[in-house]
Amino acid sequence: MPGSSRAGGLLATAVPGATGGEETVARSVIECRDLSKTFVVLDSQSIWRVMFGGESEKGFPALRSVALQVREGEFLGVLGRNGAGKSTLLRTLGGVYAPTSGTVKVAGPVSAIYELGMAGNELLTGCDFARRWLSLNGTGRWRVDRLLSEIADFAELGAYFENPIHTYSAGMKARLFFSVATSLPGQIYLIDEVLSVGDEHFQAKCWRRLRERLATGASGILATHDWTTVLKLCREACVLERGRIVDRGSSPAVVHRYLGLPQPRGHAAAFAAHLPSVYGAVAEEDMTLSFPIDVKVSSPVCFACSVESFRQGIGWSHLLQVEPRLVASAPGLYDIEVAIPLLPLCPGEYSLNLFLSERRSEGTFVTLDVRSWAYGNDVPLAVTGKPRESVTVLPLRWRDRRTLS
Amino acid sequence: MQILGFDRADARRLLNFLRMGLRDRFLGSTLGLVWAVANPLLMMGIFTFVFAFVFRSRLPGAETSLSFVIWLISGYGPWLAISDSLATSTGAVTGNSGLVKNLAFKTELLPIAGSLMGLVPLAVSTCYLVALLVLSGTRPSLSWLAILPVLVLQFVFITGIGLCLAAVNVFVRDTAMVLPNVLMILLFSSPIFYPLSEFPKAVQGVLQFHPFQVIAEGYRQPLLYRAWPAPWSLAYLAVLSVMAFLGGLVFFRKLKGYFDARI
Repeated sequence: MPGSSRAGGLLATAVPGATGGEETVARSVIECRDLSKTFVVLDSQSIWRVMFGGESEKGFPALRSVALQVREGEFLGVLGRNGAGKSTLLRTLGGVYAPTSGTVKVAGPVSAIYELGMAGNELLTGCDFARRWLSLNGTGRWRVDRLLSEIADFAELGAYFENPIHTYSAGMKARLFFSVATSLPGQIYLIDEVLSVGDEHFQAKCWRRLRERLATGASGILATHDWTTVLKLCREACVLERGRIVDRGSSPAVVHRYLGLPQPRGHAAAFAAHLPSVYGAVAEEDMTLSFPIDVKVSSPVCFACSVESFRQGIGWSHLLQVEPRLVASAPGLYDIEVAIPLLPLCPGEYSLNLFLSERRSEGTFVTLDVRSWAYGNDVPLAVTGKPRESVTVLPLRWRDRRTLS
Repeated sequence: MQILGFDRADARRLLNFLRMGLRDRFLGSTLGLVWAVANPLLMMGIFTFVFAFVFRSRLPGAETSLSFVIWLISGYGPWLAISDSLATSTGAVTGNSGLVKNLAFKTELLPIAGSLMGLVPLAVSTCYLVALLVLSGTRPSLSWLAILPVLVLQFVFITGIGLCLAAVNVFVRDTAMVLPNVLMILLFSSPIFYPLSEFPKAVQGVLQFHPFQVIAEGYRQPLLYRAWPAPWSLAYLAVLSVMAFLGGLVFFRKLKGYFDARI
């Protein structure tokens, strides 16, 4: 596959607190192989030919031998511009379109949001719409009744829940639809461009809902052109272009290439070729990391690094950051050593981000070379040790005193 | 368990579509579902008034015009159901494009549900007819139950045609436009408004095998004459229905792969 990166699972850090080292392979919930979908183009003549048993030779290939796999508990991001085939891919995986060739395997009940406002008889009330959507998706009646109050609650429609949909604003419709479509927990979700609707408050709720679903074992595919969403929700992503998967790998790397961001070329100074591809450390013990660099100019070269982690549904967060420090001002090979006493990180997988820059006289920095998730080339840091219910281990002192009896 | 490629989940879904179709048709109107009953009832009422009191039509050899109305409605009621079934199933796929594009299900269920919607006017007209019969002094009879097999065969037959029309209508939307006219021609070319004996002799022999004539007679014989429909006509209707249904289903399933090009 063009542009495929190194093991994506390693790159994105696991949820801190998970036992390091042991990796169980989750079963795949969505799998398709060599999937193609061609829309027949019908004109006034071929219509009759098709109806009387003939075939139509003209077609528009919307998907061309797409292969992908989603493991349980994962969301795969599918990036692509308008008309790249994202919606067709989701509908084919969801069983709405029959594939022209190839196989699709989906293990479990699917909740799909292909477009907002499906099956829209706008005269229905929000409540009736929810009831109908759920029962059409095969939910038993006693369960529907239990879900309805939760849906009404989440959509925040108040008394409008009992009003016809045509009285709703666009945002209210979106809220109703999202609440209904995600009301069933532990499903396989196929979501197309929906997190961009609603106001900030509701978007935040959508995020929380998806995070909850992820935490309780949901999996799925998110098709969007909004790469920030992919960065937050998906560990891995792929790019669809004219019906083909043209790139895949860890989300940050894919997004980086998708956006066509420039990569520093490392002419003046660069991390040496023998920079380890993975670092290891033990939690709450002294850690010393060494980074070989190659400086080719005689200007002030600074080094900085950070440790970050990725949590599905939340995104990337900084855990440790070391401020830029002058490390060289003449050509040569250097080894930069950073020692952190009693490493305050819990066991898990983290992302090590390294930066080389040149300090200009005005006090600004010019980037010379980078190893970072934002560029899709960060270095994993695997921390082993005693598991803890936390992310960092700080030398805290507690004192519990009763102040009033 | 599967029958013709349908399983239990499909049966449940069919019920859902039926309920949905019934609701959506009258959604937004103040009286709602009352119209499902009121519409055919009004139609029957108008016919009764016009033929019994305005035209004072008589069947050959009959004394009252009420007997003509009973004869008329026993044929016109099933016809009303047929035209309702066909009109609803023809638009069933195109009218539910939102569902077709967003839900993974067997689209065959939509025209089948549409066809079954004809049960409502049929039930109303049958009740009306029974009321007229009782009014005219006829005592209910067990032989009336003979309309049940005819009813089943009628719906199997019409569903088959509805499946064809629904599939064709996706590609040639003119189908739904032409349908009412075709139905009108069919209505007046079949012995529903006037008895078979009023047709020219040459046509009578052929018209005996007209499916709508067979269906209409299937209701008239038990309800009016307390007789079982002729066995040959039931057998003929059964063969015709099964062929129409299977043919329609095969045709629909062949064409539905192309629906995504048009919906």
